[in-house]
Amino acid sequence: MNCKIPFQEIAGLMAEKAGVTREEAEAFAKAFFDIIASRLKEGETIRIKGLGNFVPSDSENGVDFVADPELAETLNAPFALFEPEEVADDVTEEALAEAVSEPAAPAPETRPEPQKPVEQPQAPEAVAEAEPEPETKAVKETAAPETEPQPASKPEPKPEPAEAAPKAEPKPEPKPEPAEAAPKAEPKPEPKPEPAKAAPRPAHPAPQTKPVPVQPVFHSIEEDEEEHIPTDSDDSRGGLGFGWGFALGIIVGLALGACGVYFALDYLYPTGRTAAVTIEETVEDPIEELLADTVAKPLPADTLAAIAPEPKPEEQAKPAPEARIAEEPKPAAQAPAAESKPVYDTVKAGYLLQAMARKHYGAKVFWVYIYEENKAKIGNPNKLQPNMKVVIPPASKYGIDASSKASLGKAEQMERQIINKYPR
Amino acid sequence: MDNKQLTARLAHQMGIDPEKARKLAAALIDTVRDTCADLDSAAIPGFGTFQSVKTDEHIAVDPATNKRMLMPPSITLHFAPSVVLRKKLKK
Repeated sequence: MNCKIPFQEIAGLMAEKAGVTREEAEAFAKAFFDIIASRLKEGETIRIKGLGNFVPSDSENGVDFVADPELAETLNAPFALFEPEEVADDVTEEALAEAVSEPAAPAPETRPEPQKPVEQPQAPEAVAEAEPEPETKAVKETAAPETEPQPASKPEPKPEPAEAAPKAEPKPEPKPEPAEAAPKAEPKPEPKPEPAKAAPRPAHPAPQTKPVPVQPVFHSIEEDEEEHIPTDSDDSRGGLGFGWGFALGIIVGLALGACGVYFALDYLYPTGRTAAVTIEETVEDPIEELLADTVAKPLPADTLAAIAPEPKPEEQAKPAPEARIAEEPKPAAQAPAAESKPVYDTVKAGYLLQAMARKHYGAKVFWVYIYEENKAKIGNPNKLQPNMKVVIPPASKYGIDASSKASLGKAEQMERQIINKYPR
Repeated sequence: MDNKQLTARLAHQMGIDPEKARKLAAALIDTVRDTCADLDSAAIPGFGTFQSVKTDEHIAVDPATNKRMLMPPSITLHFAPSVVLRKKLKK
């Protein structure tokens, strides 16, 4: 239902019916409509028995189509028994819709007693028809004998249906035998609940009595009504929900703040970690050391090296970003001497070549030299392996000087080359 | 022009038996009818789409009697010509 059947499929079905190949059917159908189109263009009216009349017109479409009465009747079969009925002035469409949902509840319950009263059977039987086919058939059989007495009682149910009509949102009674059962259903069958929706579309028994799908309007009205209830309860809970959400937000914020503070402190004052010495940590130390250096004679390179190779680069790193102190050249001079033995570092997540360069040389652009030194092992600098041990070359080897513009420039140039070679 | 003329013309054009053309035409019409009975639409390229449209129950005012009538639901066959056809007919 509501599917757009493509031309190939139509040709296929046609070929089956006529016993020809699909290609032949396609060619025929195309020619068929081509001729119609060309005759229409000449202003001729085409009357196709079984389909309808194509009348050329001056409307935007250019052609008016009037369906063949027989065809129209076939298509409208599920609603054939209905007729327009007069409606009281005060009945509105909304009232109709509401009335529709009420009978839906009792109707399925009365289903078990199909034929007792004459008037009542209209509802239950009508409901029964909407139920799944097997049941429908059973009911229909029992109901069939009733069809004879039914017509006699028709005039009586009429006033009822007249009332039922305004209430009933029409639920087409599809079903294989609706045509026969239809006389009973004539007085506007009660609207069906969801199950009826599934029922209508089983097989294709008779050519004319095709099950017609349930109207979506009814369903949507029901939905609308049902929706009211959840929103009401939501509203009442709204105030409470907001309070809880607010409290939760504050707790989460505090937790995040606490985590942040913890990590910050950890970062500033790491416990039990010798490898990663932070810049801030050396803020006090290097200053004191540097001051000590200026006051007294420079400490021998060995002692400095003994302290830890790492703090050395930190001394450089610290002056570089902050105010340049006169003691700068001293650490720089000491650094190469201190790093006579190979310095290693390990690649970690979040701690890559640039971070290493910044730590050891005072500027991250000097990562290129760390890369150069370990090119064989690294390969693509964008793809470093965690826990990879790399050699940190001494600054003097490549003339690394964070304070020298020339050195920085050279490193930048090298960086560009490497990036060109290994783009992300 | 009606069915007979149409099928005769088709038979002549395609070089097939008039009887066969009649059978094919009938099959075509039946197919379109069955498609629309399922509330589906049948699309013919270069011509248009046949579609059955379901109108829900609604209240309408009878112009003759000026009474409010409850119109029952109905299914009607509509035809929408394709752009190609419209252009052809406009020219």
